[in-house]
Amino acid sequence: MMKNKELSSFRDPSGFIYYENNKVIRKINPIYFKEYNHLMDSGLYKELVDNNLLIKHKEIKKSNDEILLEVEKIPYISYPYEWTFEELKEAALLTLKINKIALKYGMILKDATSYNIEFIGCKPIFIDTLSFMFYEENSPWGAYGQFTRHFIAPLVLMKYVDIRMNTLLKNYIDGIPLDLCSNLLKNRGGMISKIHIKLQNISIKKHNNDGKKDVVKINISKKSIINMFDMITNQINNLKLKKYTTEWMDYYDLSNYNEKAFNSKENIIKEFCKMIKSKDNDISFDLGSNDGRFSKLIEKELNNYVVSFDIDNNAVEYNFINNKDNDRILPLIMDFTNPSSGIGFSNNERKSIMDRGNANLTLVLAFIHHLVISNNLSFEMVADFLSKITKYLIIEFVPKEDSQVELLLKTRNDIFDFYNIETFKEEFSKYFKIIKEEKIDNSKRTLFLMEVKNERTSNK
Amino acid sequence: MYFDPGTGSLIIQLLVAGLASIGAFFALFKNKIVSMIKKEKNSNKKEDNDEK
Repeated sequence: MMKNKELSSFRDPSGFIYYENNKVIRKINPIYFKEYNHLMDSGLYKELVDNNLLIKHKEIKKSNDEILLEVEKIPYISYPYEWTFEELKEAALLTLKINKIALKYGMILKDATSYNIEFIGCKPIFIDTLSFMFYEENSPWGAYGQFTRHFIAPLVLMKYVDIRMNTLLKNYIDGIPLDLCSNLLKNRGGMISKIHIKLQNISIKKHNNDGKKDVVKINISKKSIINMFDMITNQINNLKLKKYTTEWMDYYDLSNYNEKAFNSKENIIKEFCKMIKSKDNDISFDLGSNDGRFSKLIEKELNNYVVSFDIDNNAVEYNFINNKDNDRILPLIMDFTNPSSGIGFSNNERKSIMDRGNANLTLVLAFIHHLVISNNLSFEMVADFLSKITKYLIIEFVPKEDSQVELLLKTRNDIFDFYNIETFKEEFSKYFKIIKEEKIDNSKRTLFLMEVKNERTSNK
Repeated sequence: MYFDPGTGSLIIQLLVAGLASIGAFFALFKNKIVSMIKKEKNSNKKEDNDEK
């Protein structure tokens, strides 16, 4: 019995994904055998896999009824509404690149959703092996509308309207509707929006009821399709944000750290890492990772794959751009006061943070005061949440005397009598065993190493 | 295709692909002119050097 069918894998009748003994298996139905065989025999699969563009697989069964592939596992699943502008851009460019290569082999992508891309560290990879169909001479690209909704629409909205527009993708699982995108853009958006959003939107509205008419045959030459892919590639490449290189350079200078305190913090974390039981490639989380420098430290110290979360778009972008060749650190945008929930049909298609697997180690550095003081969470609520996602915890306690906390309390009533290190330890001890605590030199802060008392969710 | 590609999105591609092809034509034309100018400049330089 296939108990663990991937719940997002229902749209395409060509096959589906399921999980068995911690392995990812893709079942291919006979309806797709011809295309699959062409993908494998033509050299297309080889070219894509050799260039790290498509996920690798191993054929484990081939019969008249089904082909089973064991697909390489993605260390940590992420979704487009958690990606930065540059991450989404990379995913879009990869889709177009694959499309252009596929055409050389007489194939084309039959769909172009952003969920066909995942990241291994900072490197995007195409994960849907069944997305290739035979290219029919002189026919248009059927997935152009979907590509526009999934990639061009959020990119132009992020650039021309507001960087947080990527969150619209949470509401629209098949991409941002072009009428909505067009309304939000108003007169902004440059040539790329005029062509792909506005004109396409007009055309969609005009032909909305064409299902009732006879289907018109549209002829576009292969050369023109290639030109179109090249043009969109150039247009997306030319979309650039103005800010992110400057703002975060002096981030750590603004906080409470002088060099001595910073080195002390690094040394304590290194020392804690030696006390943790960890295997190569275990998953670590860094919550509130900022520019990702401690994610890097953990990746090196423990040889872990680190998911580096921060609420701030610019910080995550900085982290991504600076680690572009790194396939062990995955920077994602995440607000832990409202982390990604399950979305799609039955809330099951795209998983919530709690359902995507746990970490062996979680770093929570210079973050607790934001959760407790800015967001009124109790220590117990934070400890309870963390105990559901991690085995080990390295957490920094930032006291009220710290200038960052003083800053937070300057503009609001101090209703946080409980906010002290004793209560922090008491509340966290309900869920974690405190293994070690150490004060950071030249600072008022303390670092703790903890281990969860009862693991509450299994690694998925 | 396992979903509706949308007639409007298919039809607009005639225009998008047309624009892209015009763009590609002019880019090719521009590249040819640029390389011709470059060649001419290089051969002039060569002549100058030969004269010296």
